[in-house]
Amino acid sequence: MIDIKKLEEILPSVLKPARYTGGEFGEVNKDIEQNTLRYAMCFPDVYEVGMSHMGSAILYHVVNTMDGVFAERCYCPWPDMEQAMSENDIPLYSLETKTPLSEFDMIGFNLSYEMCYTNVLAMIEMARIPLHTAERTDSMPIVIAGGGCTYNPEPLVDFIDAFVIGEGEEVLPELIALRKKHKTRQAFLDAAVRIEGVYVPSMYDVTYKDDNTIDEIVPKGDAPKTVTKRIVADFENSAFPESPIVPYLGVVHDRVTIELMRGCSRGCRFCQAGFVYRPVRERSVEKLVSQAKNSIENTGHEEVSLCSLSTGDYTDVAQLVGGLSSELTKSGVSLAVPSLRVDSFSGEYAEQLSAVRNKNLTFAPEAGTQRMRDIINKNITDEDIYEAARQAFASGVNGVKLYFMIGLPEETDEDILGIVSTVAQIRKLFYEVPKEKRKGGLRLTVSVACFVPKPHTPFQWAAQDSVETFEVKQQALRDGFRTVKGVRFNWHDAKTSILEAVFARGDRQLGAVLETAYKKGCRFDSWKELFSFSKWSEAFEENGVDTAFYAQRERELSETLPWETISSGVTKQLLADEYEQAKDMATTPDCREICTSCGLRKAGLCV
Amino acid sequence: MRIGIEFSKTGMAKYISHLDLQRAFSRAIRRSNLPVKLSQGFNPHYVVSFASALALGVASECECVEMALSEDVDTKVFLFALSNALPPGIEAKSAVRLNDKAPKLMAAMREAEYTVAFSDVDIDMINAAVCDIMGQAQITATKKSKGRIKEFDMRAMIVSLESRNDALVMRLVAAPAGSLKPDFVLDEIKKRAGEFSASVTRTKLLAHSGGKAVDLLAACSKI
Repeated sequence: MIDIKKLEEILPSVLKPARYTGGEFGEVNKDIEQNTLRYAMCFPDVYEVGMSHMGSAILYHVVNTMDGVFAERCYCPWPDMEQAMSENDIPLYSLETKTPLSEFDMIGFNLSYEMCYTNVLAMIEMARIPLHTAERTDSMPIVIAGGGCTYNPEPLVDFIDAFVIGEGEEVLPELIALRKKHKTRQAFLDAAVRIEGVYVPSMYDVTYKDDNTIDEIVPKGDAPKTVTKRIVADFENSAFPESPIVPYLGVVHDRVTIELMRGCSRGCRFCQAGFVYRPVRERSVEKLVSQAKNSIENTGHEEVSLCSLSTGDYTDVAQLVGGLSSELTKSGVSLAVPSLRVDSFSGEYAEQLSAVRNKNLTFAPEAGTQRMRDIINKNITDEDIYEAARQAFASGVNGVKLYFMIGLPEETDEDILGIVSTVAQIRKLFYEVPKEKRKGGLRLTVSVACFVPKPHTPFQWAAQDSVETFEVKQQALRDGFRTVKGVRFNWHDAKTSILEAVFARGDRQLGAVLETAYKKGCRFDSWKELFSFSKWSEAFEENGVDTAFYAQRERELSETLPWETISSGVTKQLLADEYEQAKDMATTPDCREICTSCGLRKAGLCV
Repeated sequence: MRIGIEFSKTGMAKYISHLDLQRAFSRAIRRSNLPVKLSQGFNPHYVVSFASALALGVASECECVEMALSEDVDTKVFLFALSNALPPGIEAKSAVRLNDKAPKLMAAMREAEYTVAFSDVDIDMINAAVCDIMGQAQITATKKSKGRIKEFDMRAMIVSLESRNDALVMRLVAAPAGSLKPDFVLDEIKKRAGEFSASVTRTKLLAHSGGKAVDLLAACSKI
């Protein structure tokens, strides 16, 4: 255990000390015996963000149901706490038992977004574990990582011993059981490569060509040429935490979350989640209503939210919302529904939502013209968008959030201005509702993100816009929205988006840049107030790495991509075909209507 | 029915802010299924009110909260069900039926007692500082209120300071019109006795009755 007296001395002086105390309702505690395997679940962001992450809650539950295994939590200390811990010689510790992380058998990071990578490095060093895998000894924990970013783990291979590819409920228990058997690092890693869905980067040699692109990736020992993701086949009955931890602090998603379905069958060409989380699997209405009811009873939360990639695509969405709202209103619990696709927003659904007093709706048209939506395969029409808005407004909705992207492949000025005219039309529809039927004034928020090409999508070969181009486009939007009254316009920082693109499609040469940026003090890069582009620029320069090579370069289809070892089950051929289709402005239907032979079925991952 | 609960907030739970504590109680109530009244309106919440907010980092043996119930419940049954639903570190100690005519706990509050344990300091230095503070007619202190810095006489808000077995027992004004946080007194002691570390526990919440300080819950439960 760390020195609690020292901890108590620093806690009164830091922001939100409850981030660092643990002891919440629902926290798991176990007797620690000689042979208990101790696993530290690390989330490389602040407590309030990590505690809102559904995947971590599932894994905490899954690992803690294993006999002889105890999983504890750890989040990234905010810079004030990092400094206080360092000054008082307190190492990074687990919340449950306040044990230094270096005493664990295994520590696992969740990698949900690229901009958390410097926090991973900070947490490893605060745990007093050598930063580089090569410098770790047998007495130290094995460091693993999982989550969406592991579909291209290459920028982190210097620091992480093994990666879990795919759904952790399946792979993590096997890896933990293996760790119990093997006490030495090498024996563990040699055996780990034989588990499906485990990628051990030290077992691959990567060589480069003169132009800096990859020449060859060569596996060593028993390492497979390709590591294919693992998935939960029986999603209906897979583990779900009905008694999750109830935080004291107001966290980002402070509510019960139930997971309706995994995967999405739409095939939007920019969307990594849409490709890597295939196939679509749904839970039944009865199961979900019972999970929501039990979770409310166990936690006492006042709100339930539905989680999936596209809630409106859930087969029985109207029954589900109906069933949940009749169950929940009894106890004064409300229902929140995010992620709607405009074409799945039917009248009946809209009415039920309004019955559970939802006055806000979120739509993501993504692009401002039909041409552009065809390129990205967002299969919705202008009429779909306007009809959804009309129905929403008629049912009493007066808050609308719209999400768009700029910098998509083949984009023209007309596509940018199309965003403004789409928003103006939606605004007009609100005022077409008779005045007595409107509830208050319209609150219209428009968020415009910068497109980041992601691995394992049809746009993985595409070039990203430069910072300058993004900023010109953002200016055009600002000018355009001046003519539309009452719109709140938010845009994403172009520089952050460039960095995200570099790490999303980066290779092993980026490890040095990451380390330099971390040493320069970069932390919490997804937090505007802490992001320092100048430190990052220095880090790239000092390591002789050009961001344009990773972000702004269109790749040849024949190029060996850094993430070639990792497979989501979707073939490279399918992605290449979709990229061609995009250039021809040809759309591809939902794969639940017509199978696109993406490769999942062949890999045994889809029925 | 009105019910008053006394609870402790110890260990790491002393770092839970007042706002977070309020949320923790509503969740505990929902888990317990106790018939606590829900307010009317668009965002119904339980009708729960705390006697006095506790400063972050201060432990307590004697916090009080009152709840309005939609039906009568035996106080022992209530205490048992609520205890089971509360998070670790927050422990319900007793439950009493409050007099319907008694003022709200918050309105009846007059004083709070704090017990301070010191480390890394000579207790004689503390005693000397305490004597000096009590001998002052007035001690001006400043606090921020609505973005403005306000001066006030903190000496007038110290009821008593008393050494007991190497600990310091402080009685400070804690009333609807204003409360003195223990940190103000500790800072004054530090000015005179130098730096030290201390752990503070709230040990009594008091109302006034017949010119005397009396236990808050007892005062509000008497018929």
